[in-house]
Amino acid sequence: MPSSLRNAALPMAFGIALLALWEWAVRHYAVPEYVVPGPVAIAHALGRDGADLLAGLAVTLQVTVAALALAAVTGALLAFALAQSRLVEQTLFPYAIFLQVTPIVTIAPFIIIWVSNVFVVLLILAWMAAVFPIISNTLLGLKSADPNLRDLFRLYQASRWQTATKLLLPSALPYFLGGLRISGGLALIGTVVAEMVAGTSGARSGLASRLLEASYRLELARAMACFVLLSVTGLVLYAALDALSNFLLRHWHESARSREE
Amino acid sequence: MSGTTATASAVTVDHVTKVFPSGTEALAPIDLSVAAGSFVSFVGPSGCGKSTLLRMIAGLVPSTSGTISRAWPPGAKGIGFVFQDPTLMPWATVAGNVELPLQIAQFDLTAAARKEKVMEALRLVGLEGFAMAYPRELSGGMRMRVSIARAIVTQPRVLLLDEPFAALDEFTRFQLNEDLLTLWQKNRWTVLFVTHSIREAVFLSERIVVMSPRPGRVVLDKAVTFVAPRTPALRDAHAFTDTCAEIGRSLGNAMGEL
Repeated sequence: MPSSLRNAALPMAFGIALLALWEWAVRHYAVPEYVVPGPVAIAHALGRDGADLLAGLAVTLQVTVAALALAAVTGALLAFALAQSRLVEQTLFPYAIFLQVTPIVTIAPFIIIWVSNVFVVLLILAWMAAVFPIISNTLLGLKSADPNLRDLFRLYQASRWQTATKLLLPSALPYFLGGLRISGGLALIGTVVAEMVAGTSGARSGLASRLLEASYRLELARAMACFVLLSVTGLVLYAALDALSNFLLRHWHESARSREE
Repeated sequence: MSGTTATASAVTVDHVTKVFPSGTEALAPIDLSVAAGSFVSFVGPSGCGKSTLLRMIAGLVPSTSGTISRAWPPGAKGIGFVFQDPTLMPWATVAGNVELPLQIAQFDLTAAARKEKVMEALRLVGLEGFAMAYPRELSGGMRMRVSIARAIVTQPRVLLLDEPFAALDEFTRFQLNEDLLTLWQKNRWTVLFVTHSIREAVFLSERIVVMSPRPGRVVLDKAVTFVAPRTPALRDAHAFTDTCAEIGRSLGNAMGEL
């Protein structure tokens, strides 16, 4: 389709032009690689250190995915608990907000002291970054169930369990998935920040630690290569969660409706 | 109480009032008894409390005073309810929506028997070919048919309908009126039907209860007897238009009293 082709072609052409300008500027002004590396140098670093960097990415990705999964499960459960009564929500929701507004960098030092396992430290911090949108969105979804359908379930004398599984969970699903898409990016950011603060190093260190290490050594091409990999990872993560959401909602929700319909 | 005996009464409303928490008096004391197997319509202007009365009879809204005795078992086995909106679960197929009351109430049915009942209900409303469709793929009239199929799939003792066809175009509305009438003439559930369409009420009902504006009172309680079985041709009969005119006058008087 010509319009979709143009949708992809325009930003790509713009990106290539930008990269070309960058490369030209670096060469023309003879900027040393330890100040600003050009795209070619970054690509070269990516090729040279590829295996090493991918090992780091695997570590980062492990933490990110684990934290996101944990946030999805605990966030949904917490939202469900909060939805049980107005009193519970009023009592506990401010603490969920507290979790959201506190910069995790400020909590990291304490977690690092209290928990010895580095993986667990990273997991906790990334979870803290990721969980709030899931709690808040799922809670909204649980409260948005059609009031007439609620009446119908009441009329049919549905049990709490039946109402939860047949009415509340499906009603909340689109909201939960919306939260999950936001949390995917936040889990990655949380992991990266946590890695940098925790100062992990060695073969089991994540990509963000390697980025930091490389920048200390003024290996900026390698550091930028880490940055590129992390950005691409964020995009892929978002695309994957978007695809998951569209797949689960394909039959019924407006958000997953194909444009042609 | 009216002449019906206690055993034949599906529901008896005894001196029931409703005052909303805001202090608004929605219903003045209402007394009425509905015979089992009859089709009764409630007509009245918006805000006359007819929907509130229906919801109180269903047990969805508590009454402020008075008692309501129901001759049907609670839950999906006893009652079917059709809202003004189709109120379908968008995530479930047509068959899934219709099966809901069978799943909730503990009917001793195998999955195959449940499916058979669902298909039977869909046949009755003329949607047997749409079992696997999702609600968003259907027109407004078809969605309302699904809603009716869901209400009758359990063969409930009483069917309550709260302005079910108000949002539909006239052609679809006539069609659904005729289908509902055919279903009722075959199955003889007790039907309580709330509407603000006089023609719809006269076409369908054996008895029409006309209510006044807030606080709602019964201003006319009229038996409607036409030759059975009723057919669409009834809408052109003199007796039909005369009855419509009488209900209209009664409503007009009730409005004038304000």
